[in-house]
Amino acid sequence: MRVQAFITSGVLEKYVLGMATGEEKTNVLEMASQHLEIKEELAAIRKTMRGYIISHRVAPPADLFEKVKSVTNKQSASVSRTDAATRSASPTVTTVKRDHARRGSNQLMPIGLGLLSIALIAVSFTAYSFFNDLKMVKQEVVDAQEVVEGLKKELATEQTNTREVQAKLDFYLDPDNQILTLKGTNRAPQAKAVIFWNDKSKTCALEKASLPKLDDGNVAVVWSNKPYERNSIKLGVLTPNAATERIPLTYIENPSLLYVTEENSADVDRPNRSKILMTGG
Amino acid sequence: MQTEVEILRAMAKGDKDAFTALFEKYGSTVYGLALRVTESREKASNVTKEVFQKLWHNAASFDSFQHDPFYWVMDLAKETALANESRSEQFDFFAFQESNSAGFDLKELLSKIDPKHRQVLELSYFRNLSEEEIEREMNIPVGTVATRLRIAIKSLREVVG
Repeated sequence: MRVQAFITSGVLEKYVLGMATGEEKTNVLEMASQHLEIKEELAAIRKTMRGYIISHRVAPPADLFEKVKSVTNKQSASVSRTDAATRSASPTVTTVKRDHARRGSNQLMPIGLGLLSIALIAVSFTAYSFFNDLKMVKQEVVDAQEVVEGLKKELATEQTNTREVQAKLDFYLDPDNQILTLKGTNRAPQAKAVIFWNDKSKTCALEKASLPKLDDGNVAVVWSNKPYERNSIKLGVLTPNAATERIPLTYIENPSLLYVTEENSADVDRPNRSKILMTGG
Repeated sequence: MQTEVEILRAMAKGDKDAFTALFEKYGSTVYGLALRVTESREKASNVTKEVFQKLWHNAASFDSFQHDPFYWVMDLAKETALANESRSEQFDFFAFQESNSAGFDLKELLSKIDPKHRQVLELSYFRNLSEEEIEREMNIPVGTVATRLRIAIKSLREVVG
């Protein structure tokens, strides 16, 4: 009854649309971790919103992709632009040379016309030289932008790394963290992991020290049981090649047992008890 | 065929083909969303370009444990489009809207929702208004906002699934 009232209250829609308050968000996450119906309802709302957003598709202008793609190959695009500019500049010179040759072969051409041709040649070369300079400046601007973009990317990476290190440090130094060790079962005796449990901030995370080799495509899923409750609660998923060593888990109150199973999909709702890799608590 | 997560991971390693694949997958949705918010073709093009530029530079920060790739991209698109938001009386979004291959078209889809419910959904999603801002904009009690939002999404669900 409580679950149904929660679903029909509209708070799940607000959560998916990013309108929920901090307290509402916490409630939604807590309820979703405890009730499968709520988790399914959230997934259904997300799916509907995805369909709604996709239905607004509009074919972009034909040349947009080329403009967008230039961000990935500024160097080669710049080179091509320079080549094209050189190619487009060349015919001007050829035309001028052709005019000059024609003038030389016609001895009856009035002197005034000859002077005009010379003036035109001079103007063409001046313009050609000016545009060449302009192209060089443009090229330098493009190169400078590329350097700036590269530095921005490096800075963003460094900032991300710093944040991760700081978060890790804060995590280790937090005196409210309880440390629980998960040990490998007979199935995976070398397996080992540490769980940091923080009842004050209501957060928890797993740090995998050693995960056994899983079958191709399989993942390890962290589960917990609450006292006197039969159904296991899924706390998180570990993929063998995950970049990060510390995986945030869903926090629950008073877990009585924590364990990790090998599963063939991250979407499973119940643990495969025949493939328990680690236990602890 | 690469999944969206695989595409973003490949992009983080500088894979240009993955960038092309991501544009093919999301280009028209990002452009449509940007057009809907900015009501300007020029701005929508600029927003789309900016979004994919940001995606190229920040693909490494995508975390498949925390983010759904679709919403990760669309949130960035919406945020960028909202920074370029404009209103135009003459603009008709539907005139630019392609008939899509997902099995339902937008006009048909929106015709299934009561206009007052639809307005709440649009103010919430495309203008990013809070519950209180929608309450003021539509002059309705704040509790009604959540109710109308729920009914709008429920109506959509009957069509989208």
